[in-house]
Amino acid sequence: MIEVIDLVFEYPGTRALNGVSFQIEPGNITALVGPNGAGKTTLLRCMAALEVPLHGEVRVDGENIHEDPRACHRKLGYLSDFFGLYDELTVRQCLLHAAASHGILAREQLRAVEQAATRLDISDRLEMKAGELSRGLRQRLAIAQAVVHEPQILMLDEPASGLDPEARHSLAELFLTLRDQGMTLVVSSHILSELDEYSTDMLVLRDGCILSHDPIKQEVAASVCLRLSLTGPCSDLQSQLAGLPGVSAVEGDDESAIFLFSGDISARHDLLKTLLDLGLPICAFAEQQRNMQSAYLESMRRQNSQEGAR
Amino acid sequence: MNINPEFRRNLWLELTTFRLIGMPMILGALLFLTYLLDGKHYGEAVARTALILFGLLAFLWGTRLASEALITEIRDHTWDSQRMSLIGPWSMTWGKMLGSTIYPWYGALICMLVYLTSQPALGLSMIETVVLMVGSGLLGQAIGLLSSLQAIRKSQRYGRFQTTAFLVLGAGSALSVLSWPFAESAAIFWYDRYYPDDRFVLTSLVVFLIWAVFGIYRMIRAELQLRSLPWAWGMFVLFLMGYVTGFFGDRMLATGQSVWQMRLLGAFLITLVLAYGTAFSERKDPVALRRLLQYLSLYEWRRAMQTFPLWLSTLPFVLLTCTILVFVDLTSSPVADAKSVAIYAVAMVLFLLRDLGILLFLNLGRNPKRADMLTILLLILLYGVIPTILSALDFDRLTGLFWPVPGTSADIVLPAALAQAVVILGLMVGRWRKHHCHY
Repeated sequence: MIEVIDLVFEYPGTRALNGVSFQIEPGNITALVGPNGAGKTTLLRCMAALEVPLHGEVRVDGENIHEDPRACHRKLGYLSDFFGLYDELTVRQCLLHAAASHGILAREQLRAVEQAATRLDISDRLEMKAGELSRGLRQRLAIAQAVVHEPQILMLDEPASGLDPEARHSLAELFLTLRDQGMTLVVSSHILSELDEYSTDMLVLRDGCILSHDPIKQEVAASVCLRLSLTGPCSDLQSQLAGLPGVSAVEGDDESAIFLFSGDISARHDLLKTLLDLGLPICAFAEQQRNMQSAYLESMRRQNSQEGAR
Repeated sequence: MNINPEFRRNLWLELTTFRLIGMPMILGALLFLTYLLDGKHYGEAVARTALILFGLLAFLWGTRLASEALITEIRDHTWDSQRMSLIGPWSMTWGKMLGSTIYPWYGALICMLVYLTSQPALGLSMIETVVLMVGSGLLGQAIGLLSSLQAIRKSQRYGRFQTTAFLVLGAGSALSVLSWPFAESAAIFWYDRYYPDDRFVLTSLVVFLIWAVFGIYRMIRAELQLRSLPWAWGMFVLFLMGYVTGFFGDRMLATGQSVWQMRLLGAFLITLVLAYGTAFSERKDPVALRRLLQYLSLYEWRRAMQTFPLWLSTLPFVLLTCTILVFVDLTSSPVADAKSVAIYAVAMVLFLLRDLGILLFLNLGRNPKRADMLTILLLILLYGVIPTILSALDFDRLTGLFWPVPGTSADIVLPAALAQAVVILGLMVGRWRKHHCHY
């Protein structure tokens, strides 16, 4: 669906993207993460054909978006980190303008507006002025504008910044709904906990280069992340765990450990039984969501150790 | 029916019920007051007031709104969503130009109606008066929008000073056209023929308005990431050369010159002015230059042409007119005069290259923010201050080192210009290699 090939982008004196290549399959929600200045916004802007790269291509359904950006904009929706709204227009007018700007015929505009408003749960605010909306509702209106033309791909740059936890949660639910309706999403954020709720893939960017691009949920499905807690210290806890079948990536200290375990529920039961047989004073044994934070930090650690080895 | 979305958006924003009622009330009150003060006479005084109000609304307010139409979008972070839309460049052009100024026009048209009904219109027909008033207003607004677009393409932002400059430029152009019927009129001599001044001015107004709107269209295309070959700019350069030099007639001739030589010299000077103007008004982005060099090195000519900055697209016209000028002068004039004109023309091209070299050298530095202003200061020094000091010290002969003034020795002017151009361009290339060839 989206193919980025050897993308290079430069600002005067700075290379913001350095040979970035990756692919995004349809129906995925890809989290674009990385430290400040990693090139996330530049990458999204290049993917939205708002910036022209020095080298490389971005293809959507096989079409180079920089060859015919207007045609590709039919398929794309983009919400920048500092999005703006026409504050003096009502929500309905904002959506009608967005629909008309995306080439939706006059007779279909009202239907498109109703649909986008329903999707974003702002149907009851259609007559309010955009300037009177709360931060969360403004965010919803901006996303409604970006999806009013039913794009195949939606790209969002820091969509949850400035939102309260409740608004963030409902935003996460919204992204999952859009994904279920067939949309492919690329979401850039530095709030990793928020991305946890909906991302299927994580693309880690640093200094304009891709550090990793891995599926998140699939990895979790293949190997469960478990947490083990003891009532007292056990000096060789980690080595004992590491020696057991199906156990990998053990981390922790003498009293607790987090590790990956590949096996079904009965295998997990057998593992617990083995641990008890080993005489470990277990007080907790539970599945631990292997979150994006740990995956991201792992990716960064790996990169740092590789750089250190060089 | 699909209405231009950009125009409709502006209608929603600008034409609220309150404003629609407010404008005729205020204008009506002012005009009624004039009517009363003029002894309840619906004549000259009312017409004058209506004309002044028209100027204030169409020229000042309209031009200001047109100048700010795009920068407001950038400041409010709505321009990206416009660029992501499917609104075509032409729809965006007229939607912005007429949409952003719709409210001043609403008032201006009321004033025009009052003006037309209160006094016979300046000895012009009704249609001519309407074309003159509406056309001059549109021209001012188009120039304001065009200038702001150029400024945005250069730096994505501009300040209060520049907004005022665009306003003065646009409103000044509009006012100069509208003030023409009040001046003493005479037939206009153009390409060896006399034309009625009213027809000539109105035709010129319409032609320049078309060029200004076309310029906006081309810049909006670029903003929407649509590629264009630089043919339109080339056509404008040729048009301007043809239009301006048409005013050159026999009475302006020096001894031994033909009118065509004079026009050729005029055309050459126009290309020089355009080269300097575009060089300072465009962005000298090293990344864009890198992209251009990349296309050239890959022989991707079409793509390279699409990437050419306007100042670079103007250089072939400078060189071409200079070459023709030199050739014509050498073959048709008395030897002394020909040498003089030809050498000074070549020197001016070399000084242009030097100046472009300085501009690029400073723009390729680590802190290019004030490079253009610094270049202007340097040029004032080189063309004004230093030659004046030399003259004051009775070293008139040496002023030719900095300024190709006729009368100074050609033996000094040409080598000096060549040496300076070579040195500066060498420095510029060195800086390019040092900072921008590889990261």
